[in-house]
Amino acid sequence: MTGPHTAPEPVEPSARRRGPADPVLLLIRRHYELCATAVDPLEIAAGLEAHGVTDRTAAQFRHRDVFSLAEELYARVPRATPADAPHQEPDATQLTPGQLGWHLLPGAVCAAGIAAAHALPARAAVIAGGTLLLVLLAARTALRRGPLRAAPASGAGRCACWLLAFALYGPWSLTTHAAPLDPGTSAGLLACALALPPAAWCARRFARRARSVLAQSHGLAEFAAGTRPPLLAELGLFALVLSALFATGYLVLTHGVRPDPVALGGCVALGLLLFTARLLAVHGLPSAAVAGTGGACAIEAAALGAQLLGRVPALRACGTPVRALIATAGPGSVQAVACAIAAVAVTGYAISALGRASAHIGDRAITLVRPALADRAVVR
Amino acid sequence: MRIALLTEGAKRRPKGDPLAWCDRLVRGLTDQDFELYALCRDPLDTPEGWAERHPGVRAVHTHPLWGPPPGSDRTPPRGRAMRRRFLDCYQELAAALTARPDPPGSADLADRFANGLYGLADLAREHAGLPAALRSEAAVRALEAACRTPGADPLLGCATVHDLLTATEALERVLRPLSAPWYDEHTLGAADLCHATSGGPATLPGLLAARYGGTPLLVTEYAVRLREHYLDREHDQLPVRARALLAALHRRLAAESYRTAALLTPGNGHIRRWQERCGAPRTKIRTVHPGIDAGRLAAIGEAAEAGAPEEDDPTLVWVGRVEPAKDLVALLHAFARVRTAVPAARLRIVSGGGRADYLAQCRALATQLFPDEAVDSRTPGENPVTFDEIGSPYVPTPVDAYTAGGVVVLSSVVEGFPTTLVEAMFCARATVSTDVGAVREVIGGTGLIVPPRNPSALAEACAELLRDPRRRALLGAAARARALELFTAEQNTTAFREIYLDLVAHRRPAAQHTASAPFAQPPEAHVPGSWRPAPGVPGRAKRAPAWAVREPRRRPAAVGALGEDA
Repeated sequence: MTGPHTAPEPVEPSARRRGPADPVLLLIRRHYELCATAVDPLEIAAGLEAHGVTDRTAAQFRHRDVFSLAEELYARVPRATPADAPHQEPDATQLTPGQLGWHLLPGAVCAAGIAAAHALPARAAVIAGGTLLLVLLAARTALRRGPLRAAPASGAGRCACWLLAFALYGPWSLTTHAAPLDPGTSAGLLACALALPPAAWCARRFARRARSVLAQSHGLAEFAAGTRPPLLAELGLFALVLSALFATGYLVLTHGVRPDPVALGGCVALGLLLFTARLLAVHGLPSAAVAGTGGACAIEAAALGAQLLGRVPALRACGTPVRALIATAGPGSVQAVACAIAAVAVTGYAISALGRASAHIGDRAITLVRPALADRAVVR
Repeated sequence: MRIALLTEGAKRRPKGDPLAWCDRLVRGLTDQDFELYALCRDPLDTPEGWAERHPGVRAVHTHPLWGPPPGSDRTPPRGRAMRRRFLDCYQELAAALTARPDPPGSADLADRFANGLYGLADLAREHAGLPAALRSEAAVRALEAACRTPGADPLLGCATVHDLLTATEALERVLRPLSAPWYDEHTLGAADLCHATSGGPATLPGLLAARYGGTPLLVTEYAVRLREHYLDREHDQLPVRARALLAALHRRLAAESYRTAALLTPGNGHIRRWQERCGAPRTKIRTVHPGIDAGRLAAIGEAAEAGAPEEDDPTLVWVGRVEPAKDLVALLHAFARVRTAVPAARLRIVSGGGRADYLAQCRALATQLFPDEAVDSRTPGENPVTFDEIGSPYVPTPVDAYTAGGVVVLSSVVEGFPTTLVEAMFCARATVSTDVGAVREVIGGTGLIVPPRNPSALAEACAELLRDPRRRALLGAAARARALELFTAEQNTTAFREIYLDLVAHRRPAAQHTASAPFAQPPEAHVPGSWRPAPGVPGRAKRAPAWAVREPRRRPAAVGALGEDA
């Protein structure tokens, strides 16, 4: 559109007499930008009026009114094809140092809790509970800002709480001999807490990649095809980072023992499930996220229930599959199986759902509201 | 009568308060029940304190057009049939939006647009979640398909995903009033009349009320909403194809509201021409000039007319917001020529806000053109051009600005309804103005008119008036009489009172009633307004108990009246 880049110039008084044979050409030259970028004749009419062209001026150009003059201009000036690459929009999902600090907080709290549990082994169960509570609170605060910010959905928080609580107390409640903060579970919890900054970073990378694909692709199918590789890459990267964190934590806690593959698998499955679910929630699909995490919760709860029923002599058969699983792969296997099933399902859904253009509708800055105002409204 | 005022955006803006005239209307028509339905464009855009300030306003309803859709509308309607129905309506809408701007068979396209729009409205009335459906993948796909059809605008043919997404989101925002909770019998269904205070999206609730309840819709435009949409700077950031789709939606919406409205009341002839251009039938248009609170202005005018003739004061006054569109540079150049004809002439520029950089530029030009001068060698010199601000000790109120000189000048290149000119007319000042916007219509021969951007013509007219105090007085008196006749707030209020009565009296019963059984509900059955005591009772009258109100309303009014007589 036009703007008062320059003050309106005075009309040449003798445009009709002295100018070219076609007086409209002068007008085209003066308002070329307006005419070339206009989307319909009325826009040209509005722009001309804003530049002081009236019906009387239009009469000089042998037109009845500004509207018919605008129609002539619209017909005569070719439409400017907009540049292929749209201008870079402000990045709404930045990860500022302050936000990074908040994202690091859960990891720090978790590490402190584990250290305390090692110092007081007798109170390990209580300390584990307190640590979990503090980690959850810190994570909740961290997730309210940065690239992982999502609209609140009912049930999502409770499912995440249950999954983490089961990761901590599950092996202990399924078998009586495991301790609540053995190296496997504490390394798992620590890795999940420390993985919050990498998760935010991966989510931001994915959003940026998707935005650049969005700007380039000329069809919805092309966009879907272009989004899948970056999504898989980010998920893989996150899984790698999580594994590395777990392995490092395990090595530090056990002074150099090789990590247990089942515990590692359980931790990675849990982290991947939570990350993918959060990614879905960020992109406006919170119900799918709740369904995925809720499914994992249901499997774990069923296993726990079956195990408890199996202790009743008449219903011993109920607990047989769970007992067999624990006997083969250890107490952490229930969590690994439940989370792996849910993670596979959620990832499969995410690959199709995040390839849809409508999933990226909210993360561009065309809100038509200044971001500061929008933020204030969200806080309210 | 119960009147629903529909507005879009209620915030005070530097260019003027969109609700200021509604304010005066509500104050003027104390015997009517008003309800305000406001669409809010951002979080701060709320009509705060409206209900407290106006005892005549029964309720204030707001619906946000910003941010994500409200809670219940976040999941699209479920079921295959629902999705199919939504898609059918949305495809109709998209086909109408993506067609070429003015194809030969545009009546057909207007019908398709109306079908799509009302289909979506019906869907939103029956099921929650229309906003989510409008943002869904199905909607984006439908829009893409419509852009790629052979008859579509060639500009849209190669729309990118970015364009489509941006357009989808923008369309959803404009169409959000469709799912506002306002269309039951307690809100808009109970209104006797919908009065939209601007065109465009604000008329959407009125269109739906007219569809569901047969409520007449009155559209008042004191600025062309469509034109404002085109000139809005916020849309410059949108990609061009998204802008094209959004403009098409506003254009079609304007045409549909002009087609459905019972009456259109543009504020001046310029707006009237735009409305006719967008398809408003001439028979439905009645121009109602915006009124101005005369108050102190009229008192000054009276004093000027009745009092002794003032000493011959060769001062020109310019009042207004300092903007490039006001072309103060041309005024200064014209004043230079005036000085050669009338050496004692002075110019006072009274600014009421505006752009500081442009004001500085004008000040610099004034000091360049006119050096300071003094009458003799002892007094300090002063510039013949003085700049004041409204609120400064010299000009405490806008009213004082007009008393400062004999001739008021308007040098704009662009102007809508010239408020400062009307105020000058109330003060019985002779005026010289440029021929822009509604100036010719407002001044009507009671002042001098010159072409815009023509300093020598402006100078000539000013000098002529400065030299002739008698003509000045005559023109001023004529201007004052004209303003008192046409542009008072009372005139505006009276016009609207008559329009309200007329529209409500000619109201037709809703289509669905007549469709179910002929003569099931005769037109007399609808009694406008509430059964409340006559106006003049101090304070707000108490409502009658529910049993007393409901019973008479069921019976036709004529029967009730006869019964009471007997």
